[in-house]
Amino acid sequence: MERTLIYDYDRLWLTQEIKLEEQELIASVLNGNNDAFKDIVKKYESRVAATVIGMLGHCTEAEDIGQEAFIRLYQSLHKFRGESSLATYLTRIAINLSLNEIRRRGRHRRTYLTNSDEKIEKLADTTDHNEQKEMRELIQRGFQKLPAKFRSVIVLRLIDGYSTEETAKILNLPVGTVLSRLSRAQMKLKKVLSPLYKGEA
Amino acid sequence: MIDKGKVMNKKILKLLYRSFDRELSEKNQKRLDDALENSDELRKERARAIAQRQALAKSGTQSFGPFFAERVMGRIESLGQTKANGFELFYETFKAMFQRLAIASAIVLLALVSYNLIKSDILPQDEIMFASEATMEEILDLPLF
Repeated sequence: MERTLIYDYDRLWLTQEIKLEEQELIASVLNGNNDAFKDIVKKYESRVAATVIGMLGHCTEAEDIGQEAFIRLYQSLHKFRGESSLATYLTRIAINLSLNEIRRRGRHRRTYLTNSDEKIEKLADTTDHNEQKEMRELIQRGFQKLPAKFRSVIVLRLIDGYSTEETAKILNLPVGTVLSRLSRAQMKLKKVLSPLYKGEA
Repeated sequence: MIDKGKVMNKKILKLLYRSFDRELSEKNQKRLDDALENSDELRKERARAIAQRQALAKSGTQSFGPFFAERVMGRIESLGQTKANGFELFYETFKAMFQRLAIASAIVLLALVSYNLIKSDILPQDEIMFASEATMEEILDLPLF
């Protein structure tokens, strides 16, 4: 019990420290210091990359979307009221831009991912099971085949590490919907990766 | 006819997946525990799901490559320049369009002011022309030598 309290106190203190640091950086940017914004980009690049690459896969558009997320943040920084953390605010921008990009792809009927079905089947036949990296790549490829609404909950919950409540808030969805999409996403992923699991068996 | 076993499995699977993201009710947790105890397949499925979740979580450490921050700042600066260039372009067009009109308006305005001043005798025409007529008194007052 005591340990929990200490942990909570530490976490609270840490959160406040981060908030103060964020506020200082934001104030500095708003005063015209662009170097402070560069620090923000460096600080949150990996988080935005995880979100955008998680949603779109490794493609040339991913970096453009990542850049666009930071530019949107720069342009709307004066509107940022600090109700959520800067990271959450940025993640919300990144996920919405990624969803827009997926919609755009749908409209243009373009597929950026290369015949992932074939690859999963091929790799399932040849995978050396000791190589976890390859396994991760396979799961990533399979993951990219899921519909966007399932991908977004997985990215936020598993890759970005948000809680189900935070995920629901970012996506503007009820918690129940997020939970249902999470379990359905896992079931779908299992189905997509079934050639790999057959190989394992 | 519905396969009762399959429906059951799907429900248990749902519980299993949900258990990773939210604490189950006591009743559901017991149901899942019992199923896990009795089914080797379900235990395998749990291990597979955990591995899958871990693999996805590990793919989270990403980067857009070196000098990403510099590229973003470059785009932000170019956006600022585009805005400035846009303003300059507007100013130049505005200047070119209205330069002639401004000159013509200035001439018309000057002419109107002059006309009004003359008409209201504030500035008599003779004085403007330096051609005021001498009166008889002025002529008589002139010394002979």
